[in-house]
Amino acid sequence: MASERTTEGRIDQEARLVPGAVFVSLSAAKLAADVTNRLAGGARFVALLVDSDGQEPVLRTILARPVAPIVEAAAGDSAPPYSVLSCPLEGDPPGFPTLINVTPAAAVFEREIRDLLGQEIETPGPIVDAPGAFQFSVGPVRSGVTEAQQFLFEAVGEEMLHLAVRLYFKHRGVEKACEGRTPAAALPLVERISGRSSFAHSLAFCQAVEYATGSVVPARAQYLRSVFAELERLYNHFSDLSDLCESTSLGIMNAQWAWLKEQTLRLHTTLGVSRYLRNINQIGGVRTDLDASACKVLEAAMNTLEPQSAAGARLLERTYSHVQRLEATGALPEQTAREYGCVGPVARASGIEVDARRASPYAAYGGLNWRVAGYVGGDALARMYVRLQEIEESFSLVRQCSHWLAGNPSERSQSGVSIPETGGMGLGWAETPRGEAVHLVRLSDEGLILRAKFRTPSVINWQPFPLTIEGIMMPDFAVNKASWNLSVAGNDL
Amino acid sequence: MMNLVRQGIRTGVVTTRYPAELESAPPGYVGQIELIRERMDPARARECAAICPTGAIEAFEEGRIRLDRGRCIYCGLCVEHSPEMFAASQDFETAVTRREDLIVISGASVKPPPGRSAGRSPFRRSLHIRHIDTGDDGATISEAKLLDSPAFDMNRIGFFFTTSPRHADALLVTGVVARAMERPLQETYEAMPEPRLIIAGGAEAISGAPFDASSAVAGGAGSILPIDIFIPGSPPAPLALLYGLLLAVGRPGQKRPEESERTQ
Amino acid sequence: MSYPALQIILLLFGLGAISGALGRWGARIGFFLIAAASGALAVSAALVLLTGAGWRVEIRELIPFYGPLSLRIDSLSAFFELVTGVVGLPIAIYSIRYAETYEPRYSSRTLCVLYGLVMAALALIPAANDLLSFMTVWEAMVLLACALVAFEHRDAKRAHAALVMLAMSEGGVALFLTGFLILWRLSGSPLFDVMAAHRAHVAPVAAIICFFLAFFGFGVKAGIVPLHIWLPAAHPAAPSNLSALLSTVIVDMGVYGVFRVLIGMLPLTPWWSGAVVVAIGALTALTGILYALVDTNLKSLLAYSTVENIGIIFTGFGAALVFRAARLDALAGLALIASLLHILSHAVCKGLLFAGAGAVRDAVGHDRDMDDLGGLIRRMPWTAATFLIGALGIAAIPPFSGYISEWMTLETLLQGVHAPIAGARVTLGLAGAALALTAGLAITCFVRTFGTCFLAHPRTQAAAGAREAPVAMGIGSGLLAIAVILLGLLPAYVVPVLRSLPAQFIGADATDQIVIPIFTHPGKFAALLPLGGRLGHALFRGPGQVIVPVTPDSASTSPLYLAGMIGLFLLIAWLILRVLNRPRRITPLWTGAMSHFTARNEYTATGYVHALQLMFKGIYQARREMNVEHRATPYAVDRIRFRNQAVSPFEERLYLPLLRGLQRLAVWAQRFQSGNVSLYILYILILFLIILLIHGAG
Repeated sequence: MASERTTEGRIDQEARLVPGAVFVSLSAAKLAADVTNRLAGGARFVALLVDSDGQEPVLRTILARPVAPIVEAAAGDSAPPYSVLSCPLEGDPPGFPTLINVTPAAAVFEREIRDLLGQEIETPGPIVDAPGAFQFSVGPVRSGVTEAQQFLFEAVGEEMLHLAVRLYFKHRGVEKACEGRTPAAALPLVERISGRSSFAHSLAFCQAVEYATGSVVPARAQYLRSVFAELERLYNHFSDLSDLCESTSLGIMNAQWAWLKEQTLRLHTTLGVSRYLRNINQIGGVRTDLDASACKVLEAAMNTLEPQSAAGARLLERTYSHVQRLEATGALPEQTAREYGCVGPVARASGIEVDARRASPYAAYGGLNWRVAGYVGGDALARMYVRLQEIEESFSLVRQCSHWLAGNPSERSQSGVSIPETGGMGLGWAETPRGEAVHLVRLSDEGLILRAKFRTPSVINWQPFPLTIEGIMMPDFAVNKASWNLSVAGNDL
Repeated sequence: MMNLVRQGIRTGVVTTRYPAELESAPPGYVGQIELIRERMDPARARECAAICPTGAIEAFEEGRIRLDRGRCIYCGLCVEHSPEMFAASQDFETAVTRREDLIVISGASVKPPPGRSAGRSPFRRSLHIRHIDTGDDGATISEAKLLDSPAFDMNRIGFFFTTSPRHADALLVTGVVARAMERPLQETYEAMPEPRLIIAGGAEAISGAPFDASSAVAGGAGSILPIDIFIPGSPPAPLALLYGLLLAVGRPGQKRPEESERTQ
Repeated sequence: MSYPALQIILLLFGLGAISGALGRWGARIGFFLIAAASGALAVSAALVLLTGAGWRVEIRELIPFYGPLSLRIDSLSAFFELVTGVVGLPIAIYSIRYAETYEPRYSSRTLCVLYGLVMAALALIPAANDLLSFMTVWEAMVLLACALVAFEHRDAKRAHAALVMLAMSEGGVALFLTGFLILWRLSGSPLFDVMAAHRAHVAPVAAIICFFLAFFGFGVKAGIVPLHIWLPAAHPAAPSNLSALLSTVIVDMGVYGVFRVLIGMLPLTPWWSGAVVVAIGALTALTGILYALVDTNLKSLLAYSTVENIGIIFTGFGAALVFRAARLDALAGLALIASLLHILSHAVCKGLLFAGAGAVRDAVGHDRDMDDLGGLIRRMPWTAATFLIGALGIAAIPPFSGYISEWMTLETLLQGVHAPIAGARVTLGLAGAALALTAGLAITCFVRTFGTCFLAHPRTQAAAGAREAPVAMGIGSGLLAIAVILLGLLPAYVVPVLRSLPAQFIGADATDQIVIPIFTHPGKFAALLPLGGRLGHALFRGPGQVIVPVTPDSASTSPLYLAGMIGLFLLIAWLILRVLNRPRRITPLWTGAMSHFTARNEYTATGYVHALQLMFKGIYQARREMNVEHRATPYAVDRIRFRNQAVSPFEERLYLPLLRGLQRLAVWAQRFQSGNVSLYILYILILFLIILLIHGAG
């Protein structure tokens, strides 16, 4: 709480402590100054959303606590990791204080809010004054088996001057579709926010609801959640590396990583869960358990996969043609990454230690021994190294959890509470393979969802992505894109 | 370079022999939900219908169950709730050529395997597939991409993903059809030469479940285009997709004598 | 041709010019008369070539202290008269309507008068047989051409281009005039044929000096690198009909000068002098095409393409010199024929392309960047079709005209392995590689040119509103297109016409080894005899349609048979399509299902060659500047300014320092101009003393 008191305008601030987040109310006029102060103090911008408290719309700003250099995870830091600043919006149509001059990351959220409030959105493209320049459009139906999105390059031949990314072709209205459902009924939707981060998103969502309803999750479920979250990270990183090798035309390594991914997906079914780790989480725990024999299977699988992955990593590092194309491609400077509040492997490759598992431990991460992957430079190569490091850590984390699960067979994996009957607001988070996901859920007294906001890592990371095309030629764009591996579904929702 | 080749050789052949040989899905794989009895307790049947997140289950008065596999997302809640009626099957040869074949009613006679007559499809051997993502969450894309990977290697049986719809025989639609993707879907279909097939990959593409209630979603691909092959699943596994493609060229279960004895 | 014929032709040119002065209809008739005169010139020149009957006249004692003025037509002159006539006729017909497109800002009458006079000068240059008459008609051509380049004189840029052209031409004149004066001094006569007859007595050092004075002096007019810079400046400035002349006939007069002196007046020079010509030719070809590749102005692109083709011509010509020095007479003859054929081929192609460029310019308003055009094929189908033929010809695609001459030049260079001198083998081999690269780049260049100008959607309103050119312009283009096709299909009939040229200058007639009676030939094609060769010979009389570069074991080609095969395959494809006729469905362009596809999304001419520009960035010395203006934050881009202009290094690295040096020299020389009369008398006195001293010593 100490850091919360440093801001100006305390008089109209009314702080309420909820597990996971500090909820602060303040007036719209004070918002920009307050956020500026907090960001200057090292806080990280997370999300901006419009909600309604009864009648009038409320603007909520979510910020993450400054990361202490060394967090003693086991001791448990008393200060909650996130703060939610709420300010009511007045007027008709409601005007709201813009944060775009405070942080560029607010831009996409403000557009969404304007859209929801029925206001005009201006998006003038840049004026291109270049002889022989043309607009090179790719998509929305792009070549290959990929997600639908459109890239508009302003280019002079191979040289790219500007990139506009057109997203939201796939907007399915996930947040809106969740409204009016019980959290349990909303889970299948949440699992489909981003198909390859199903588990992490359902985890963040469950934790948000658990915080909101005060549910207690048993320790065994926490460890199981960590196991599955790390398995998800493994297959995602395998998949991303496979895509990266495809972009540099490294056929054999593309096949190798794809085979590792398929092996991991098959392991999931062997463990009795679905290939994409769906239908595991539920409010208050998990639906499945791993008994001693399953833990053995798990450990055996880790023992066969790890040497394969390590061999693949060694080969990648030694393949000059591959490394050379990644080097200095799509460099994201640390400053830019900070200003945009970047998360996940992208931020970690730019030298920012941001990892929800360490900064705000959830599930069993507080009790596990591991280190946050990190690299400097922010180029495609750095992103590859971060993924390779994370794969190593994930193997270790799965083993640690599996040991604990095998050693504590008596614990329950599920709490008795299946449908919480209380209202309230909760904030949940989880580190998806692409970075931190933050879910805000507000429940009615009947336990139905009134407002859900799913801040995916992709929606944050997509924004600085077009800035990194500078100086790279058209053929390297695919390499850069593969190294970011952003989810379109996760952005479009 | 030699290191890479050596690594490739060391890994050996990992490709499935399917469809030349029968392949069994890995243990724990849920291919589809079966109705194993004719009737169940009507009250429990109603509970099952209520618990289903996509409304795929309909309970009749007398305790019979109607299951729409085109809406089923394999969450397994019904199996957990009433194991006496619902069971998970490992079968992955679940694709059909008619929407109504995806709807099963408990106790009704098992229909002949659909699409086995082979003759409907204008394609015999090779198939060039254009993929379109109309609102997929990314999982079906991930599975479809694996078809190109060594584990399944669909090129060995003459299936290829192609870049331009101009070269495509079949259009693989994955995901619910988001409103903004309606027109691109239509345009892609228009750009394809005839004859052409539409393959709906996954429950999302077949019926729009679980997002069909959302105002931002136009529904499944079936509401916009005539679908020829329905591949259920959420997401459908690579083998299920592969079976769907084989169905599209009219040669499911090639070289398999036990084929005729297969019961559903 | 005879002297009276030339007089009549000159009279017609003169009448055309006079008629042009009389009014708008007068200009039309004037151009018609010029066309008739050009036709007559072509026919009479062809007769000279066929019969080998040249002529010579002397007009005695017109000028005191000089000697007779003389006109003379031999095979070489006749060949260049033929080129002048062949290009002059269609371009004059084209001009009938084209000249009026400048109305009312500029008068078509002025254009007609100047045009008739310049054509007369061009007809006289190859005929001039003494220094004074040659210099007179040459200067007339230079001045008239400059006047025509500055036709749109209200535009300072065009006037400047004319000035650059004039300055460089006169620099060239200074060089070759020195060479002529040396030859005059050595032979004692200003008559060219006397100089030629005296050639055996020219000392080797003097011969080499004259060789290079003439090569570089006339090379300015021909446009060899680095003396080419006036070409890309003058062409966009000039009216397109004049550009067509400038790029073909006028440039070819430079080539004529080189040919006349180097093989007509000088003794045999050592092999390395020919190798220098080959090297400069190859360099010219490569430089020309590289700059054509990145140029986005249609006319200066075509000018650079002219530079390229001049390079090819000189490479072939240089190879002839090398082979002659190496006593490989048949190969020398082949090389000479290849370069002559290329002169003719380039003339018709380039004339056609400039006619197309003029039609485009007229249709879209004024000279526009290629990146502003597009979609013209639907609006100007005839212009597009003829331009395409010209582009195919100049890109050396069989069976169009450029193919056979470039192929022969390349084959000749490859046969450099037969040269007994290692240095010659290396030079010819490297030049062959350079020409091969040039040919590849030329295809890229003209695919880009045709694609950007004529295909896809129009990129501007002006291009969208374009309309087909008037009939007279269409007829001019059509005639040239027919010439491109005929020359491409039937080189076997053209090569024997050129027979007398190598016979005269090399002393060997290689024609029979190039165009052999293939059906009854005992060598490589002996297999044809049992396969009905006699029947074939009876059906196709004459030498046959196969072109063989001297040694039958190397390679051979036949554009006519190639065209036959291409036609056959097209027919088969068409028949298959007819048989497999299925119901067709027209669908819009596949654009990845994007919503707004506009001309902004089309690939530009700049974009097309950007990768090549990166590849050859050392040559282009592109100046890249990019600045980005932002809105509130550095992440919202408001405006992007980007320039990546290829800069020709010749102006900056070569000519600007030269110019600065000259200026300094002029400033220094000012010191002698005091204005004091007695000082000037002193200068005269000193000069007089020096002359006396030299004379006394001599």
